[in-house]
Amino acid sequence: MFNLFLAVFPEIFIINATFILLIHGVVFSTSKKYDYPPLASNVGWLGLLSVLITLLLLAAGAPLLTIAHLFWNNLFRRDNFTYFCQIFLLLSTAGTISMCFDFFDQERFDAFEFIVLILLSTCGMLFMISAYDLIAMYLAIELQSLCFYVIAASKRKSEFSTEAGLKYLILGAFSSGILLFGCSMIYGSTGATHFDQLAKILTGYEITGARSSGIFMGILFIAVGFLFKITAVPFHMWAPDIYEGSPTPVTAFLSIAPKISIFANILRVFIYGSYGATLQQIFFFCSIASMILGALAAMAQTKVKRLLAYSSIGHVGYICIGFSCGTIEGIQSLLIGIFIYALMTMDAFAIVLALRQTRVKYIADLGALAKTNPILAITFSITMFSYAGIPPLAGFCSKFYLFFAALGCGAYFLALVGVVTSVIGCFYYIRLVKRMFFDTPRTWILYEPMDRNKSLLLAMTSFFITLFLLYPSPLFSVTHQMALSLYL
Amino acid sequence: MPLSATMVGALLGLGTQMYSNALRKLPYMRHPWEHVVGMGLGAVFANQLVKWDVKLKEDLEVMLNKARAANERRYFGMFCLC
Repeated sequence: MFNLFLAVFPEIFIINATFILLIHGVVFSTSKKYDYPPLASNVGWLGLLSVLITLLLLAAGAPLLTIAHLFWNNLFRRDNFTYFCQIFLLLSTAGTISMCFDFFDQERFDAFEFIVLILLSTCGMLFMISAYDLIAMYLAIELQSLCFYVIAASKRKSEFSTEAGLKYLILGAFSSGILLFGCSMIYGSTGATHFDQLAKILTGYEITGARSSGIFMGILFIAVGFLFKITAVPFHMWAPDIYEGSPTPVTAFLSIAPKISIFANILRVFIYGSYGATLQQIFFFCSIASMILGALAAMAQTKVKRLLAYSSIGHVGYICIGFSCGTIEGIQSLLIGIFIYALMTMDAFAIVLALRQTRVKYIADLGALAKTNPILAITFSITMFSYAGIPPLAGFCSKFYLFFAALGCGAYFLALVGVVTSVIGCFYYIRLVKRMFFDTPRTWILYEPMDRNKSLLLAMTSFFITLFLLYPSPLFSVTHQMALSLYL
Repeated sequence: MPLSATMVGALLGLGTQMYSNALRKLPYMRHPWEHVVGMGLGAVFANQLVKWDVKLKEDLEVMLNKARAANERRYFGMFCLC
């Protein structure tokens, strides 16, 4: 028996926790009695606890989810796909928050609102994943995006951070406008915003004689809006500047969490709602362009964060291969790709944050890291090899499955471009390893010990990356279930 | 099977804690009680993962059978595998 309250209790809890933490922060940070304490770490730990409790509440609702349910006037849907995507999102958010605590102390960052906004954006992303209507989807996207614009500019004393926030606001608002315009065109042409109705109207519309320029333009604009938000080429221009200018924990969060929720949305809207030759061609092109640009542009980078930004653009290209296939195997490979990408990125940014304390900003500063901290250098090397797709690491497994899905549906050129760009990408990933082990730095940097949160997160993600190939069965089964539940 | 999952999980937990200490440039066995906690959590995690994997495979089989039955109902007659 479907219990609506239990089904939405995780979202209700996290919204309430967000507001309680906001009130707690405002009351105590302006309290003369407590000498105006900085509350970023305090609110951070409470925020992390809130995310973990939300995760438990979600997991406790599992028995309700064997059958898909629509609720709230059919605006939202709960099924296996929603359930596992939300769990994955919450785990990523918890991992990102746990990286931040040392950053607050080192940078004297006392804006507790940072954590509140992360929780609010997480709530928006939870709604995004379960949205089953264009209106619900757009509102959830805006809830998520508005929080991101603010946290990108959260380091108020830094011009780079302010510039990043402003750029993100202008470009993000523009892309949201295009997305909304596409939604309105679809509504104007079909009279429907619900994904079930759109699926009935739009599936095969290119061959049934129901062609309409309104529908075509609507789908195109929605695709453009989404492609902007996942930083796919040719809508990627904002990503390197904003990733570099934002505070590093924000960059980590922007690289991981929104990609999960937006890819989940893309799958709902496009795989279930409408899928045709036009859309496939758009994503084909964007996938190939992202892979090529991600590989070539990253070679010229001298800063670690910009290199990771271009690397993430390249990885979005690989993940879009799964979408371009349009098959169950393609969707499964996309979900496996996102999961492994998220864990690799968490690992990479935890290392960047640990090195940030010693003022490592440029790739050249990594010189002799193998001498000052050999275990960290080995961890970074494992992450880079995994990004490059070298077996037997997890990154190889995700690329392998994506390329096989492409071959299975006849997209041979896509798979070929993927392999070639992976080889090109090896250059700049292994260049980092060469810098750490064989080069001397411009200035010798003293090592500062990292905190326990980051070291535990690094240990867990590194073990996953290294040992995934020994037992990939749970991830394969769960992603297969998620892909099937999109259709059934 | 449960024994090997427990052993593998305990080793993973121990390895994670030792790795964490090594990253912080501490002696590998600093605060040995944390290693015991890690082994316990690792063993629980591995056993739950194996159980979850078995359940996932069963649920997947049910979903695939449902899809196969729906396809067979839609098309006249049974699928010919010859």
